[in-house]
Amino acid sequence: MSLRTKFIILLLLLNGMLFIFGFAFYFNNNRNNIIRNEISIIDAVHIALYEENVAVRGMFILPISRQISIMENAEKNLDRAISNLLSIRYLINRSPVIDQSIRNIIAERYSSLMSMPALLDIADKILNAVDRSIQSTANFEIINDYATVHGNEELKIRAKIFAELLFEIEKNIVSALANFDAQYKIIDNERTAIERNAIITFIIFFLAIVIISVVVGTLIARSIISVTHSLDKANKETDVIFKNIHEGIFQLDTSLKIGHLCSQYFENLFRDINFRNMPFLEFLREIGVAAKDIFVTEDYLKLFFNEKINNTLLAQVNPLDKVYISILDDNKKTQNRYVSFVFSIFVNADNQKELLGTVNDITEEVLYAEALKEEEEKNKEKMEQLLQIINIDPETMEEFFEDSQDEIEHINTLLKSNRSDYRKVVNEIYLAVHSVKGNAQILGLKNIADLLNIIENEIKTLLERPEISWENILDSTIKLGTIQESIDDLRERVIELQLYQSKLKNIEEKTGLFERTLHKVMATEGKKEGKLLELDYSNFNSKNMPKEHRKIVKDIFVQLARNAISHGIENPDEREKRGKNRQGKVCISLKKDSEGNMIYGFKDDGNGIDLEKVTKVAKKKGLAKEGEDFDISEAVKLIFNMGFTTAEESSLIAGRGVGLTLIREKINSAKGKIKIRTQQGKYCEYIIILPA
Amino acid sequence: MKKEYIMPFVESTQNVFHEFFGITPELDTPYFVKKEETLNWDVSGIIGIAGESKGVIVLSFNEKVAVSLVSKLVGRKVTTLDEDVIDTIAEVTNIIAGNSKKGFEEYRLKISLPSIIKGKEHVVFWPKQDIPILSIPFTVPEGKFMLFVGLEKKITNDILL
Repeated sequence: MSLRTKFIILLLLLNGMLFIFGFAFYFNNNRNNIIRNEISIIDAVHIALYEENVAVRGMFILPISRQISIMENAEKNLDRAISNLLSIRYLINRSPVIDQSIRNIIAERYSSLMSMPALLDIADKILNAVDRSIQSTANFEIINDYATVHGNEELKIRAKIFAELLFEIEKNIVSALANFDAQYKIIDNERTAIERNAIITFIIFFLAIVIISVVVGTLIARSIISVTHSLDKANKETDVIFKNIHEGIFQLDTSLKIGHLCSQYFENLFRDINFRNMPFLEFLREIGVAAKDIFVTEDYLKLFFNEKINNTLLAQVNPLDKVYISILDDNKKTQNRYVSFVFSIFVNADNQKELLGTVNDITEEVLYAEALKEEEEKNKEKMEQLLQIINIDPETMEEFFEDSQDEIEHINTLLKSNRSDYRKVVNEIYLAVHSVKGNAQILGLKNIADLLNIIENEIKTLLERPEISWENILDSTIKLGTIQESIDDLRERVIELQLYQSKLKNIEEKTGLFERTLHKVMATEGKKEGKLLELDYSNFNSKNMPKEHRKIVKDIFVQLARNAISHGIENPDEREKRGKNRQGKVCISLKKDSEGNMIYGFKDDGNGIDLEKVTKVAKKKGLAKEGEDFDISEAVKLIFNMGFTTAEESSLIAGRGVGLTLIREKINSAKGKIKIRTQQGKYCEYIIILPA
Repeated sequence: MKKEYIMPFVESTQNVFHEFFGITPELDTPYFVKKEETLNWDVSGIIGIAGESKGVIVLSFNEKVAVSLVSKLVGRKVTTLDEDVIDTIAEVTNIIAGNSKKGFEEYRLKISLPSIIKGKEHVVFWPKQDIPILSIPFTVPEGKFMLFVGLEKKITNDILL
């Protein structure tokens, strides 16, 4: 989940909490009003009952006629109050006890007021029985007196019934009131309980909201802190990157102004320019980019805001990939550098497209590339010169050199004599250049001719001037020097060619490949064994060797050489002791016999075949019996056998006992023969006869 | 070799002589000398050049010219190539080299501190290869002195100075 979403969710949660709290508060308030209202309905019953009670009591003393209407009124009120009780909903729903109490109150009403119509009826009859004059003022006592005075027994009885009824009603009402009070007490208790519960619920709810809000608030605060922290971190990281990256990074807004964001490298590179907020094109002008490039750049940068054009294409047509600029260095000196600008588009935090530019100092690359190109051109020129030289007859070439040198010398003498007539000097140079150019053209020395042509034209322009200064003379002299250099160059090529040719000749005259290979093998193997060796091939000419012998003879000689080095030739000290040259000598020879067979000789001046050693080894291997002696021919046969070696330890060079066996097989396969001559301590010679 | 590399030295030589000795040396036509040519110079100031071109520039005097120029400067009669003369020539060469620096600021060239060679009829061994050595003769009333320029063609190495 992104921080943003988290943040929004938390905020919504907090808002929800506040809303619910507000709603609960409102609801609570509302409920209190309802309860108050419902209680007042109940209270109204109480009042109505009380009124009724008063009315009933009044009946005893106050004029009856008036009391009747009061009574009726009170009854109506009570009726209404009771019927209002039916509208009580909230408390009833909250508490079954209250429900029951209200039912009781309603029921009581009917029981208590059952005799009321009878009372009113009898009161009517009583009033009708008295004189009209006292009808309105007569009360119970007056009526009683009236009945006594008039002797109206019926009236007396009626009054008595009336009083009894009245007593009963009063009693009922009192009981109803008592009942009501009891019920009211119950209701009141219940109501208090309901209200207390509600308050407790409200408080719990309130606390819950507070706790949740605190938790949510903390989370929000935390995420804000973490966002700030990560922003801070990101900021710092960006800062580090921007401070240390070895690349100029800057930002261009849609109006192509340089933005605030830029790397330290960029600031350092252009420290003498107040580039912030500067339009990029103006910036380019400041650093000395050519006007035409700036013109193109404007259109180019606009292309980036066009989504249809792809980046690869844009990169290819970048007009600023190599621009030459002038900036001030540390010492406030103007410095020319090559830089490369590269752009890419990005969408910033405000969802706007901006350009991110990078700039690199490519001076070194450019200069190296130039140098490389120059070198390549030089080499190409060299090749061309060589090709041109090859086609020229050496004598003609030499003549060209001499003639050119003469011309240059002539001019130099002229210069040396310090003629004050500059025009004449320049004219002479012109003529000389022209003449050398002509010769070069005839010979097809295109490079020199082209160079001379350029110089000739320059000097010609100079001659057209009204006045020729010393500086012009210097210039022409330097050009002469350039010509000299080119001719020297050419001469060097010729010398190189001659050298090459003579080397080729030398190689032909020198030893053939065969002898050199053998020599090389001996030198390396000898070095490994610490032995000094010399190869004498004065009687061997590989040119006389049939082609098909080349490989086989080479293999055999290499093997024999190895053999000689490891078994035959003694080490230098040993040789010296024996009165031999420190350097071991190997002679190879090649002859042809009368039948046309080739006779190859290989002779070393080493120890020869050591008969004693061979015998010892043969005995050890069980090839000879104890006490039996070998003669040399038997020993030779033995050493040509597979796996026989006198070396104490096998090495790469020798000691595996396969060398001579291989040689024998090779000679056999070529239908040749091998002979060995040896004298112990003196030499060992192998003669190989191969049919041509 | 480029005229632009040489002119600063020529101009600076003339200016410095004008300032120090009150004479502006006259320029003779420049020419090339052979490497092996002995030129009978007795004291030379050598300035090394490196950068897009490489080589040396040498200012050479014979004893007579050096001695009489220095006499003029120090205000006493100097007869031989003594330490004073050498010091003066060194100083003059140094100033010439220093002044000429501004002349090729736009080129990638660096010049060394001059070294002074003293020796009867010494020979300067020029840089390798067959580069033509240009000599620019200056004439002052006391005689001649010479500015030699031996610069290689643009070379690829140490191009980035």
